Amino acid sequence: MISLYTILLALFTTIVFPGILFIIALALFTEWYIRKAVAHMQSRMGPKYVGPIGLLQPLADLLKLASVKEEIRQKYSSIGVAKLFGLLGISAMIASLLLLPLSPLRIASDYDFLIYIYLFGVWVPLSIIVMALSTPNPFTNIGVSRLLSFIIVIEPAYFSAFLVPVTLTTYSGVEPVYSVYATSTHVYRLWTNPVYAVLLVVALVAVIASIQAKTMLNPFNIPEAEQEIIAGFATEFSGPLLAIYNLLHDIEVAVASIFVAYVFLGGPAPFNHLSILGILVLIAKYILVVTIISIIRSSYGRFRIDQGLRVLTKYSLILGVLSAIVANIIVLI
Amino acid sequence: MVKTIVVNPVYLAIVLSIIMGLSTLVLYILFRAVIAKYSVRSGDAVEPYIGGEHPSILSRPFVAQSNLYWGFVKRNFVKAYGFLKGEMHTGRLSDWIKYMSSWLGLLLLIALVVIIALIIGGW
Repeated sequence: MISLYTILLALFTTIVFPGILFIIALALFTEWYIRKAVAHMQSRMGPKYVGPIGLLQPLADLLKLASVKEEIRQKYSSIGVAKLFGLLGISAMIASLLLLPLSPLRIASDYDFLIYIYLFGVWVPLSIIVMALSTPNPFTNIGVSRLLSFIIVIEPAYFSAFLVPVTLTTYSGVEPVYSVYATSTHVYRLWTNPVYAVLLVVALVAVIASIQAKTMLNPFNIPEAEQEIIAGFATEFSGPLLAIYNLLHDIEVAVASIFVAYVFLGGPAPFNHLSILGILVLIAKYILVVTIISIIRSSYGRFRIDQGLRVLTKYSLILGVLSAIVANIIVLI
Repeated sequence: MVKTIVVNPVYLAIVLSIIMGLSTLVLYILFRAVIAKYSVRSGDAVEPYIGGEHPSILSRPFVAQSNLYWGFVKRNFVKAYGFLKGEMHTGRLSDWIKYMSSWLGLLLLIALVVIIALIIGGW
């Protein structure tokens, strides 16, 4: 029997923390941070005018798109379907946050890692693809075909790289098995074993490369490829639909980074969530991941599609799969 | 305060799907609240944006999108293809028999290793 307290906690978790309100705030902060960091590296100012040191600029951009800008209804488009799938993509990421120890209501099970992959690795790309195909256009088609080519390489790489800490934690005797929650709470112990640490570093490189491509940041902004193919799959997005897509993209960066901060780096470990030090360590790890993403983004120009796929195969797919295979062999031995 | 629930995977999938549906509903309400009063939609449906070109350009043949796949595959497997061509397609029957027997021999070896491992380790 589910108690009233559990239901209220589930509602709080979904709507306030770490659900809708928190993740939107975190996503907008992350966008601001990346823009500011990249601007700093390129000797520019970055966001400056709205809010203290430009902190509210992403929120102002979002509200402007949602409430002021015109939504251009193209002849062959299905704007309603595009918006629905945009919101479903955001919701899938919000639901996946309940698997983390960050949430006041943590729900775990054996093999919940697969449910995370289903929510983050299937629903999010699917949402973007359906959003794009709901506004048909030659540039959109090219963007989607590039995105699909990317997905073939990125998703197995992401999955394999995540499998490394999850497998190592499971075979350390922690239950539930293959669980995001169990991995997040125990992974920091794995870093003390030198063999495991090497494997985790290799998997971390693979996962960062795949996140860079999943979130379509430089040098993997090939499906969008502004100017080259106008805006790729987002060519026909405008007004509120563009606001939903931008929010989905920002949340994707934030959720990907927070999962790396937990599943690979252990979240607030060696402290706990409710201590000041724990919160500071968690923020530091999150900022570290986002900073690495920002440095890569500002250091490279856009790759050609074949270059991008080759680099991803080399540094993400092969590294991810190899580290997963080696991790499994080690634990079986 | 904080509550941790361990459930079975099917139950978890159902719970998270319900939460996903609930979030979609709340997000939709929030979204409607933001855009309801000020949203402006262009009246007449417009043609797809094709970079200022005339729509007749769409009837011209495009480079097939499958070329993206085949271009990647060919470029990356050209060495493998070269090897196969060099080893197999020499025109000599003995080369072909050598190649096929080595390949089938490898598969047989893998099958034997798996079978032996299963017999030793149990099913």
